Formats: sequence, structure tokens, C-alpha cells
Amino acid sequence: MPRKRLLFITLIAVPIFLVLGMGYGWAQLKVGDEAPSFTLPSSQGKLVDYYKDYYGKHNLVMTFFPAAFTPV
Amino acid sequence: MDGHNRDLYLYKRLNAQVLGVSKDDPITNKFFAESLALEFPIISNVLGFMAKAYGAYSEKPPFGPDGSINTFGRRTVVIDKKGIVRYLKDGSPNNKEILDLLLKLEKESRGLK
Repeated sequence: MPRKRLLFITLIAVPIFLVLGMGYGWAQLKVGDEAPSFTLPSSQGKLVDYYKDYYGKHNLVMTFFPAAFTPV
Repeated sequence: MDGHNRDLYLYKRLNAQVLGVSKDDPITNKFFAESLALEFPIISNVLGFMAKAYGAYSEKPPFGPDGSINTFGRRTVVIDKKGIVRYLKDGSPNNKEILDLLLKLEKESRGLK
């Protein structure tokens, strides 16, 4: 019985974990991926919606920064 | 943000818009934008899912109360008209690189080489 279980682990469980693990790696955004869309409130008192405001119209430069009143 | 504001007219000429993304609430962002006289919007993402989606979490302190990573790192992303990510860079934005890329994108979309 233990031998059979070992066989199961090496032949089935390990490959599944490897594939899942690789999937985790792919989740990281890369150049060439489709950009995740968003709708968020802005400092100008409006909702900013990616598909409504930018898609098909403008290129978008987006800068993430840690907090307001910090230099970027 | 200051640098982007300075080069905003160049971005506009290349049909690009600028957004800042932070974890502060919209009112804090409004005062921040006013203090630097920013002409582009800063969007606020209090829940922080944008950083996960765009891989912009910082691995430096300050951490959350349970020691988890909870601040944005500095990262600049350029998205083209078709919604494809064309540029990713951690650290402070390099405006020259961004402008070069935007020029390339604009030429591409007009069918020039």
C-alpha cells in the first residue's frame, strides 16, 4: 500500500503541483499582456473608467506611488 | 508626479493621458494634486487591488499590522490604445523612455515606421 501511495504522489500529485506553481508565475503582469481594467474615483471628482475614458482613444501612462505628499 | 506634470503637454501631443494611482482616499489625493498644481487625475484605490493586478506592491516597510505587504511601490505602466501593456518599470518614472515609447506607439497606430 505505501508503495502505491508513493507512486501516486510522484506520478500525479507532483506534476499537478508543478503545473499550478507555474500558473502562479504566469499571473505576474508582463509587457504584451492585456491590461486589467478598472473604475476608480479620481482627485478631480469624477469616476475614471478605463474602457469609457481611454480604450480605443488614448495611450495611458499610469504611475503607482506609495502615498500622497511623497516625491515620485 | 511633478515630472509628469511638467511633460504633460508632450504626452498630450502624443495622444497619451496620465494617471497617478495611490492608496489614499480621493480627498487626500485632491489636496495632494492641488499642492502640486497637477493637471491630470490621481485615482485612489483604497483596497489596493490595482497593485495586485499590476504587480506594483512594494516589498519595503511600512507593512500592515499583521506584517503583510500593504503599500504601493513606484511603478510606471504604459497601456496602448488597444489595452495592451507596452511598458513596465519599477522606480521613479523615466520620462524620456516613456516619451520615446509613446512616439513609437503613435507612429505604429498611424501606420508609419
